[in-house]
Amino acid sequence: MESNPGTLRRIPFFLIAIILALIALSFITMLQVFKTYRETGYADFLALSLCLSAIAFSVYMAFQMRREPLKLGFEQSKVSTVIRCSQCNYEITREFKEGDYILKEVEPCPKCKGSTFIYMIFRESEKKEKELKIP
Amino acid sequence: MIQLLFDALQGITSQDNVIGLIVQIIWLAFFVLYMLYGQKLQVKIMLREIEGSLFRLKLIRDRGREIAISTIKKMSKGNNDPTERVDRILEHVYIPPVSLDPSGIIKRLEHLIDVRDFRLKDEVKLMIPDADETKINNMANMLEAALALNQTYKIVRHFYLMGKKTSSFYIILQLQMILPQIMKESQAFASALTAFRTGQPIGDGIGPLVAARLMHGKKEYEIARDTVVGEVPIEGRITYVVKAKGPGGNVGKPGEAIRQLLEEKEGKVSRIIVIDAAQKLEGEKPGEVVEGTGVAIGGPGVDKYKVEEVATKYKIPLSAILIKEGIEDVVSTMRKEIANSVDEVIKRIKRIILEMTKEGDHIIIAGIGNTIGIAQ
Repeated sequence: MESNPGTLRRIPFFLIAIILALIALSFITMLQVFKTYRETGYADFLALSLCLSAIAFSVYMAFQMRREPLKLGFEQSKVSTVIRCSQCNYEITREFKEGDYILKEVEPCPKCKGSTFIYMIFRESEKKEKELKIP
Repeated sequence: MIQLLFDALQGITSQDNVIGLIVQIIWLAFFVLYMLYGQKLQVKIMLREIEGSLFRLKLIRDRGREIAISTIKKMSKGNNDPTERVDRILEHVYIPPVSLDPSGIIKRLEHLIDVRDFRLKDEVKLMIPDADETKINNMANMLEAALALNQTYKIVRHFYLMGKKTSSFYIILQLQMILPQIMKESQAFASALTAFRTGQPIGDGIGPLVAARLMHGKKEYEIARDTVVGEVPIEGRITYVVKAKGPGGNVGKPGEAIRQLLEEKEGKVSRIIVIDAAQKLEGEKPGEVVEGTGVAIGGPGVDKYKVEEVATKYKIPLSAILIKEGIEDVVSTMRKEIANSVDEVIKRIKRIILEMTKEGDHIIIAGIGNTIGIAQ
């Protein structure tokens, strides 16, 4: 079975290498700082804070990479079909089925047994558009 | 602690010690290198960005091709392998007519568009011999979307390689500048492909949807190739509602249909109302309805020309009702906001008819666009 055919994840090897190098360097520096502190009693806070920031930044970058799969546009959003009775205007909404088209006559109305037809087919917009502030 | 921090900072920035000196030299070297190789570095960064988009375009193109092949295979029930034929269609080139001598260009343009259209449908018929008209039209539309994706990828790749080969900052800059728009359009074509495969109505079909709603339950007949017209009484007037023949993917020949109607009625029509989707500007809402004057027909201009010519001949006023949509909505499955604008459009049609025509008048209403997933 195909797993979500529209989305794909591109592996950014270069970015992963940078993140790994950054984390490794930070840990080595942290070890050096602790070693110096134990031997001489001198605490290099600048180096320590730089190491912690680098680790935090790397973790953040790694999470960012995880959160953004590559969207190609083939993703199937939810498409609904609205069926309406031409006599009593009773409406029913169901998921779109292949072969559906607007004004197609479908099964009789469950309420009055009158003839029904597909009144509307539409897709729900999956995300609300970001509204940019205007003066 | 503050003293420690201060000491450490002084160690790095002071010129008196070795570290300070090294930092100064690094800064100087960085400055000189940036002066000499700054633009090259920028080119490299831009090329890397374009590479990312090109990779994505390639994935979209390949996925589109795969969908086209698998759908045709499924429809032909595995009778023959369509891969070779699909690949040939995806490389098909359309050569527009010569415009050095513009006289008669519209006729030549129409002829070429017709030939291309027939060719595509014939190819589909050869691949799926027992397909009905609706399926043939939908598959032809799907192949057109796949073709557009292939062409887009190849053009972007051409400029990327040219920029890389010549290291031309300006070629790369121009490509990078239009890439967001290209990516948006490619994604729209990708979703169009999905919509055409399943036969779902698309945003561009809002014009035919309004026409279908008006002529529902009325008798219609084919007036021009793939175009139907129905006589609908509205507010005591006789309206002729024109739309492309559905539910297969089709735009029909609305220009020819309106021309024939007017010639049949010898110009005794008091108004032409054209309904079409229009590109929304940033900040406008999808599904917003606006009114205008003129022939609201997009595309290569053949139908627009025909309507303008015949309307001018008989001095018939033209009204346009436009439904605003973003580029990503035009060819993808119709979104709810756009579908919901039908009632507002019909309200406006009735208002225009009441305000600008008299009882007993004849009016032409044309719903322009691709009628995929919309019957009549």
